[in-house]
Amino acid sequence: MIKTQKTNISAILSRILIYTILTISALYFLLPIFVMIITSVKDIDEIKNGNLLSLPQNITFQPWVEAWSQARIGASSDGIKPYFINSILITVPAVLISCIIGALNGYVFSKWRFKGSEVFFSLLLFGCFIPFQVVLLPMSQTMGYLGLSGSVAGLIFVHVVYGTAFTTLFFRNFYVSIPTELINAAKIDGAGFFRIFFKILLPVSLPIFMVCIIWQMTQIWNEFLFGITFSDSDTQPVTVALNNLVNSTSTVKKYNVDMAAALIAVAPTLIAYIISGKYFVKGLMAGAVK
Amino acid sequence: MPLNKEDKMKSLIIKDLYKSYDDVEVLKGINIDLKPGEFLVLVGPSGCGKSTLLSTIAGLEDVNEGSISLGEDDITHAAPKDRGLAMVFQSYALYPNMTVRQNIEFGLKISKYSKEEIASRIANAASILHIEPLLDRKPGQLSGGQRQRVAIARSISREPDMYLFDEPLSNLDAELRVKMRAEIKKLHKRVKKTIVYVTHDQVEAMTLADKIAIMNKGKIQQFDSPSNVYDNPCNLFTAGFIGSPSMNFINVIIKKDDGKFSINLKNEKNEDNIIYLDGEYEDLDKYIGKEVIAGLRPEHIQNGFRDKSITDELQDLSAKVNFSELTGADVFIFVTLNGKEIVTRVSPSGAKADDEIIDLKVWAKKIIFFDKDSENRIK
Repeated sequence: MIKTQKTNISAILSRILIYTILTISALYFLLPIFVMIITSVKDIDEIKNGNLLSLPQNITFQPWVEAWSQARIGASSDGIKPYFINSILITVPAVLISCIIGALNGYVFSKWRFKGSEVFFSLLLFGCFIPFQVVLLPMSQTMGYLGLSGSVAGLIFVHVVYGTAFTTLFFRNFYVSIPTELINAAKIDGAGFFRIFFKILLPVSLPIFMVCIIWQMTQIWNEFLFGITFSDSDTQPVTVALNNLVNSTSTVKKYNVDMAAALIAVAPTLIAYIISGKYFVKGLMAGAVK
Repeated sequence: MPLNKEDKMKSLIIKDLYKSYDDVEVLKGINIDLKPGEFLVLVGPSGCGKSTLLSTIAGLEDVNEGSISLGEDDITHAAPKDRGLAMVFQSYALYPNMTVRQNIEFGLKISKYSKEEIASRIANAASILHIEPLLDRKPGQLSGGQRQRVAIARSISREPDMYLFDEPLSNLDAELRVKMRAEIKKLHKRVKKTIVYVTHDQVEAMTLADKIAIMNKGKIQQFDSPSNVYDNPCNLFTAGFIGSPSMNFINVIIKKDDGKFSINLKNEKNEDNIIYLDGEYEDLDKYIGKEVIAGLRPEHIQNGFRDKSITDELQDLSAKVNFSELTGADVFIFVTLNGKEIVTRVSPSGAKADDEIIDLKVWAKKIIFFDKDSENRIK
């Protein structure tokens, strides 16, 4: 009896400790978002005279409207809306193309190995570790040759090239866990390279597709360096526009508009993650545990 | 429902087959001559090349040298689907996203058979394997034994000239394995096609095969009927591989007095047990006075042979029981002969307790000998 009580007390104590730590960490991460949200719905006078953490007296959505469609960025004052659309135009094709290429690459590297395919794969993996800054100059030269400089297509190209290394790694590791006997059975049944891919592998690839889509979407949507380097003023993604908005020198610093714009800019990745986060964990686990 | 019985059965002939991965030679000159309709079992320890050999027959792996022909056709370099064969895999390899029906259909559709033909083939295969109620289920909803049936049904539906089985029963539990083993045997009788079957289980090999190919280190050690493989192993490896418990190997010196060969199996107290060899040997003369390896199967050292006709051929042997294992029908008694612990197969009625002296009988005719250096059988 005495022993049980002791364990009870220590169990309760450790519970308390765990929840305290969890609460503190949650607060630590949520506080900035909380500040952003309340600031974005205060008017500018309230921000100047009030406390950073105090709740808004009169809730106003004017900063959101201004950030979306009226704020002055660069030469125009159309808000971040056109840049948000740019980001969509860049992200959607770049994510899809890099995932499809990654799936095909992963299929080859796991199920159709050829002499030297391991070397190819290692070289491709190298792409995951090359810092962005290193490739800026050669990439801009390449895009010049290809006639893609400053265009949305150019940014898609860059992100596909960079993203393929990651998606290939993801898909390859996923397909390695699928028994090769399945491929052999299909070969004996008379299926060729593409039929095996589309009929056998693709139908079971949903989890890893979700992982790749979330990963690539987060990467490409939040990317800044390529966005600022390889875009013209009318093809800038939302991250660059946000930077320009915040850094633009105007008479009054509109913190509420900045916060609203920042929240708009991160919304898509946040929503994507909340909706499909469970696939993300599942998909990563699928590769890890055979 | 009848399968195409008018189809000719095809022979499988493999000549001087070599296969290597990078620098590692996996198959070193494989020769197989299998008659039409025979059931060949490739058996051997893991890593012996039996699965690789099967893959080369299936066309899933290229070969470096040599040829494979099925019937009249040289299929050495043909695509897997053009070889006229079907394969059943160890993990069943059912397509997880398709129903059982779609699994069977998949290959037939690729081969562009008519709808009616496909439907009748599915019905036929399903009825042979009794899987009609499962046709609309997915593989994930089936038990191991059911999946195995579906995999076999899928291969039957292709109506191939030859079946390949890659350790098809090793993922099943013991009871189901015995059941499926019998079904595969029945299936062979029914379809009358050439079958190549890979296993590491020597009981499966003995029960199923018309011909056994025992493989080790990339070579076929012996290619023969099951009874010949058991009674006349050609070297130490095949002798030790087939049989459970495996054959006893004892170092002995060959003697010859008055034209009769003899060996001495000393027990643990160094007391002589002279055994006269009344079998026929061609080359044993060369080994007089030399040490060789004697091979005795456990059932050839007993306390009472059930077959009365061989009573005259039995010779006495006495030794101390080290320990014993009761299996039900038999007791395995372990004794020491010439410093080596060996196992004997004794009927329970004559068994002795541990550390007692037991009088055994040796069926000397069945003793075989192996050269110590080459490990080959001495005829």
